[in-house]
Amino acid sequence: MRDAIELEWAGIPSVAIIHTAVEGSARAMAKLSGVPDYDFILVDYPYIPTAIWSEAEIRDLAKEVAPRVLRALTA
Amino acid sequence: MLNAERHAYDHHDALQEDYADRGWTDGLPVVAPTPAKVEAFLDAAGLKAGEVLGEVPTREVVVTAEHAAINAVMAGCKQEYMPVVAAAVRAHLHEKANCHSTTGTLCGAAQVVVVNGPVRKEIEIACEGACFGPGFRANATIGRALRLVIRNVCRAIPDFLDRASFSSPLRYSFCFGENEEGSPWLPMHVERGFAPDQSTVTVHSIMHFVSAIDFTARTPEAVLDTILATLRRYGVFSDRFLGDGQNVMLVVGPEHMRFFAEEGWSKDDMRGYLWPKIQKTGAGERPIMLGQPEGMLITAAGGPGMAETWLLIPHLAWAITEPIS
Amino acid sequence: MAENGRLVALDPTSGPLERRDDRTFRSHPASLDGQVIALVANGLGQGEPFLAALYQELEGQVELAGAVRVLKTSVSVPPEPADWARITSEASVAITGFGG
Repeated sequence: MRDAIELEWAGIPSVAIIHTAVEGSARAMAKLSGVPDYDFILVDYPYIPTAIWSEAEIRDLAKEVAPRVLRALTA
Repeated sequence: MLNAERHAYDHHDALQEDYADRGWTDGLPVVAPTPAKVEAFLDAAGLKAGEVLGEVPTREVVVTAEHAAINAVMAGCKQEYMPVVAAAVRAHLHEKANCHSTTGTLCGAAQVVVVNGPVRKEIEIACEGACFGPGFRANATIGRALRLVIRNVCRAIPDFLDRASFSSPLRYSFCFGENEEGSPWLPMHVERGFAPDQSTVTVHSIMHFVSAIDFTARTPEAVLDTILATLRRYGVFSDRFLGDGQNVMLVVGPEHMRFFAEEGWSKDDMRGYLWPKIQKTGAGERPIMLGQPEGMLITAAGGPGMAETWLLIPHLAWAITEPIS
Repeated sequence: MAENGRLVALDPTSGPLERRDDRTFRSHPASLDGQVIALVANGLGQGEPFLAALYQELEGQVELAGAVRVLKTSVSVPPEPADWARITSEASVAITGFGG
């Protein structure tokens, strides 16, 4: 999360992909960084938070997230 | 000159309720950190309020001596403990102690504080029977002071930056001293390059706290085989950030230590036996990712009776040793 | 310490948990056509192959100009200076993950 914010400060439009299980700490990091409204992409179950996923899960999640990344990275 | 904001209360109970409501405690009552007490703690350690003990850059946190003193008072420390608390905070904020990672991790890593040198006797740090548990003021409050700094200053608060799924009771406090007098070995701080009469504190962030119990082993090799088998069930993990510097700590109780002492085994002899076996990870075994034999830190502590060695298995951090001034 | 008969005690924290920052972010581009994407993986689980698969999906939808792939040295530390320099000099947008 902090990486995405620091990249934004460096002039690189960014988006962070975060699991819902740690949404609270992502929002906390945004608050501490002075950008409490900074948005990020949330991934929910059944994908598990520690990203120990099968190849099929990786493919399915990439398909699911791609349009959201496109929207987040463009104006 | 103290910088912290001041809060005024009509009576002590109101302070307890307010500090708890604000999330400034570990759930237990605290000692009121009055300006006079905090200044006395700083004087006892020869520290200025604004002296920086360390930083957590990712969290935009700078930890000063004043921060540490306030939380040490709250923890119930005596002022003569403050040099140990300051050293423990410095150690935990070393880059390779990886504060941001170890205090926010899902696995709820705890910080162990191990004290060496003359200060143990000066402030009565328990090193022998029951030394891991409650009842010893120095042990209890020094460990607690570090954890309150981690919570209040480094912002590792549950539902905020602390994401621990379960956390750990060790996060209330975990501090003990090495039983240097009762051990045939070089103390841990001497092995790490400090003079015997230089007091030190070693802080490590640990993910697993496991006993390698063996009442039937009667030789150094047999004890070490049990230690290794226990370690293999958990593994020791490292990464490129930690490089070759990852550590694991073995706390050898007197029942196991006796076998090494009788056969004249030094800590290096123990490492020499374990190291080749550590290099080979068998099927179904977890790797032990240490870069060098010296990565195994061996201390002597505890009391007689239970034939065990405690394994303090790390999260992603080096064990850092700081001198106590 | 008593001031006017009241018990005075000190704030043990490093300040409020929220602040405002005056730094502004650059506007996000109108489209990802022609952009170079930094894929900044923290090393958690399968996060790196996931970002690679995500890039392939995006490639199928827009005309990307390339990728800068970074695998951090540890899950919760910033990218190394050399990787940071690569990102800021070669990439025009970035995706970071996986926060778990």
